[in-house]
Amino acid sequence: MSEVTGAVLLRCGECLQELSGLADDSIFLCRNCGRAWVSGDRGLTGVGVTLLGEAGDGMVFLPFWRVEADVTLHERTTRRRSVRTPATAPRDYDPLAERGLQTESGRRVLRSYLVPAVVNSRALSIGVRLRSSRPDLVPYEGSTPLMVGGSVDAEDAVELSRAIAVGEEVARTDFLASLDIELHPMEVDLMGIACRAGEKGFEIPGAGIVMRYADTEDRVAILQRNGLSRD
Amino acid sequence: MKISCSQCGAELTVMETEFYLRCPYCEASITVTAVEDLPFIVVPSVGEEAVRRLFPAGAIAELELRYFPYADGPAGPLPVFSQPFPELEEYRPPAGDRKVFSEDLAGPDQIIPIDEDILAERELRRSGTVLHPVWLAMLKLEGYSQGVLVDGVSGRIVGDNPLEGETAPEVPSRTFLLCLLLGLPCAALVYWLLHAAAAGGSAKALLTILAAAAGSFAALRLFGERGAPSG
Amino acid sequence: MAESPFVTLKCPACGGGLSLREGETHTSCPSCDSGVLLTGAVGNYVLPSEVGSTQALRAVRKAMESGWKDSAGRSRVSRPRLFYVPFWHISAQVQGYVLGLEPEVREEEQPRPVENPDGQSMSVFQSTRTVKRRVGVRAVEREVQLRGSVNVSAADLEPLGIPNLSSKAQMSLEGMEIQRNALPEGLEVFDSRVHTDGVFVDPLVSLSEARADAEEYLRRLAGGAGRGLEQQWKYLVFTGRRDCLIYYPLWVVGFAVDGRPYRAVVDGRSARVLRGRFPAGPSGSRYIAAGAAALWAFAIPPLVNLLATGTFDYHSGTTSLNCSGVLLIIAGALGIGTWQMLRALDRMESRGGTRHV
Repeated sequence: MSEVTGAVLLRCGECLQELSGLADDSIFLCRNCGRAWVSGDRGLTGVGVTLLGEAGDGMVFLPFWRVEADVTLHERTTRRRSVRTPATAPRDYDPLAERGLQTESGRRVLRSYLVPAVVNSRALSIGVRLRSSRPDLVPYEGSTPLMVGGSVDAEDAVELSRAIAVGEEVARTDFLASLDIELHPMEVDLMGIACRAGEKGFEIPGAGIVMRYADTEDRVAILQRNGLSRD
Repeated sequence: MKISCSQCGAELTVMETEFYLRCPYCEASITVTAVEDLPFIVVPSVGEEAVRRLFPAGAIAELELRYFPYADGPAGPLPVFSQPFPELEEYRPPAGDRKVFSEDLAGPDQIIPIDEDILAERELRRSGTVLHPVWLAMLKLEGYSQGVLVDGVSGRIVGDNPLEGETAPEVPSRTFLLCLLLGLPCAALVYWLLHAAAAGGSAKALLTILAAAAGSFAALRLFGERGAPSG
Repeated sequence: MAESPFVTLKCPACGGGLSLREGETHTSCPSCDSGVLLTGAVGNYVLPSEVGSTQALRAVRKAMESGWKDSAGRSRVSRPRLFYVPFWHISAQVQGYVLGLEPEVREEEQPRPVENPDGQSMSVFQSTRTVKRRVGVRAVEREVQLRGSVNVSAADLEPLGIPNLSSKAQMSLEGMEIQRNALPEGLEVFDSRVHTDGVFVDPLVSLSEARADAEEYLRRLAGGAGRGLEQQWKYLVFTGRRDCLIYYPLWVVGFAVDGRPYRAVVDGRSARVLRGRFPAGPSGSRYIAAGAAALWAFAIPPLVNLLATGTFDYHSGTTSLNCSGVLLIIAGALGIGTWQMLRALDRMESRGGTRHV
C-alpha cells in the first residue's frame, strides 16, 4: 500500500521538550527554546519565527505566515465601468472597446504578504488589507509566549498569497475583468503577532484590522488556551 | 512524493509504488522510474477481433486491454496484484513473448498496479515482474453489466462464461406438445366414454375439459421441470 | 458539523491506543501522556466488514429464493471472497474571487397593439403588457469561500456491476455507506497486521487524478457564486487539504444454478445484495403453454366428431349445425394463433431467464 499514517512523538528537535498546541494545529512554538516547528509528511520541520508586539492582559499571540514573493503581472484587463446599452447607431467595431475592456501588461515586483496561519474564512480580505495597512510593531522582548491556533501549512500560505495578490488587484478602484498573474515564493517564515482579544474578534494592533470571532474556526479553543473566555 | 509533469509542469503527488502514470491535467504519460527497475511486458497474441468472436454479436459493450503483473515463482507465475477478480485467484497465465517495457507498448491506464506488499513478502523485485495481457470484456446482460476476462495469450475465457450453461432454457412450444401428448388421450378417452353413454352435451363438455386439464398439467409436472437438480 | 469519525492508532512511546478525530493532527496519549504527532501524507482508513462469509451466503441464498423458491436446492455456491475496495476522499477549502457582469433588467409596461374588428388596421387600446428589457450590465466582484469534499472510486468496480463513484456521477450507490460527499462513520486506521480478513485492492486511480476530478467538482460548486454572471472570470485556490484513502468491504459470491454461472456482490456493512444476476426460475409461459394444450385437447375430439358426423354436440340438444365449414375455418385460425403465440413465447424464453438486482 502507499503512504501509511503513522505517529511520532511531539518533541522540539532542539531541546527535546514536549510541544503542545490545539488539536488541529500544525505549527508549534517551543516555550523552552523559542524554536518554531511545522508538521508535515515526514514529521516536524524547523522554521524561522519573529515575534512582534507586547504581551499583556487580554493579548493573544497569533501566528501569521510571511511570504516574500516575486510577483509578475502578465496582463490586467479592466472594464471602463458599468455599461449602458446605447441606442443603436452604427459605429466602428472595436471588440475591446465594445465591451469596455482595456488591457495593461508586464509588471514585475517583489512583494511581502502576511497570511493568517489561523483558519479564517475571510483570510483573503484580511491579507489584502494587511498589504495596505501593515502593522508597525516593536519586536517582542520576553520569554517565549504561548502561541496556538496555527493550522495552515506553508504551501497553503503560498497559495493563499497568490489569491491575495489577485484580491489586491480586485480591490483597486477600477473594475477588474481578468488577470494573468504569477507568484513565486522566495522566503517563507512565521511571524507571531500579539493581538488584542476584543469584543468582536482578534484586533491586529496598528492596522485597524479585526479577525472576527465569527470567521475564526478555532476561536473558542484559542481563547481558552490563552486563559481568556468569550463573554 | 511530488513530481512535476514533464509536459505541462503541473505538480503531481505520486505514490512511491507508481512507476508509470498519466498526468490528469495534460494527459501525458510519464515514466517515473529508472529503466533497470521496469517490469517486462508480454505482447498479446490475441487481438480485439478474436475476443469479440467469443461472444454473440452485440453482447460486448466495451472491450479493454489490461496488463496484470505476475512474478516467476517456483511453481509457475505468481500474481503480484490485489484486484477484485475472484476468477484470477487460482489462474496461472500461459507464458508469452516477453519484451522490455516501453511507453509505446501500453498506456498508463492499462497497467494494473503492482502490490508492493506482496513483492516484499516474497522478496521479489519489480524488475523481475512480467505484465501479462488480459482483455476485459464488459458484457451487456439485460440491463446489467458484468466483466469477463479473456487471456491475451491463450485467447480463452478465465473463469466461467456467464452466457453459457449446460441446460437449454425451457421452450414453450415443446411444453405445449408434451402437454397435448398427455392431455389429448385423456380428453379423448373421457369424450368417447361419455359419447357411448349418451351423456348430455354440457356434462360432456365439462368432464372433457377437466380431463384435458388434468392430463396437460400432469404432463407439466412430469416433463416440464428444468434440468436435473444439482448438489 | 456532523460527528467526525474516531480513528485509532498506537502510541509510539508506550504502545497504548490513541484516538484522533478526523482532521486532528496530534493528541496526547491517554496511557503515558506523551504528545504524539500524526504523520503521513495520505491517511489510509478502513471501514471494517461487519458481515461474515456465512451472512453473505445467507443474503445471496435469500435473494436467489425470492425469485425462484426451489433454486437453492439446485445451486452450488463457491466460497465468498471479501474485497476491500478503495475510495479517495478528497476534501479542500476553496477560496478566491469571481468577477463578471450582472445584467440589469428593468420591467416596463408597454402598450399592446390590438387588431381592429375590420381586420385591416391596428390600434392602441388601454391594455398593456409587462416587458423585461435589458438596460445594461453592472460589473461585479465577489469573494468566494467554501469547504467541500467528494468521494471518488479508486478501483474499477464496473466488472462487478457496480457503477464507479466520481465527481461526475450523479447517482449515489444505494445500500452502500459511502456516498458522494461525506466521510463515512466508523473508520479505523489501516494496519496490515490487524486488517487481514480480506484482499485490499490497490487503487487504479492515482491521488492526482482523484484530486483533479474533485477539483472540477469543487470549482463548479464555488462557481455557483458567479451564477447569472456574464463574461465570468474566476481565480480559486485549494488549501486545507484533508485527503484520505478509504477501504470499503464488499463480498463477491459466485454460484451456479443448473450449471449456469451467476455472481452477486454483497455489501460488507449492511449485508445487502448490492448487485447480482440470479436465475429467474420457471416462468409463467409454461402455464400458458399447458393451458393452450388443455384447450386444444378439449377441442379436438368434438372437431373430429364434427368432421365424422357433421354434428357439434357440446351443445345440449341435437341441433345439427350445418356450419362445419365455418367451424373448421375458426379452428384453423385458432390453430395459427396458437402457433404464433408459442413462437413468441419461444423467443422470449430464448433470451434467457435471469433477473438482476
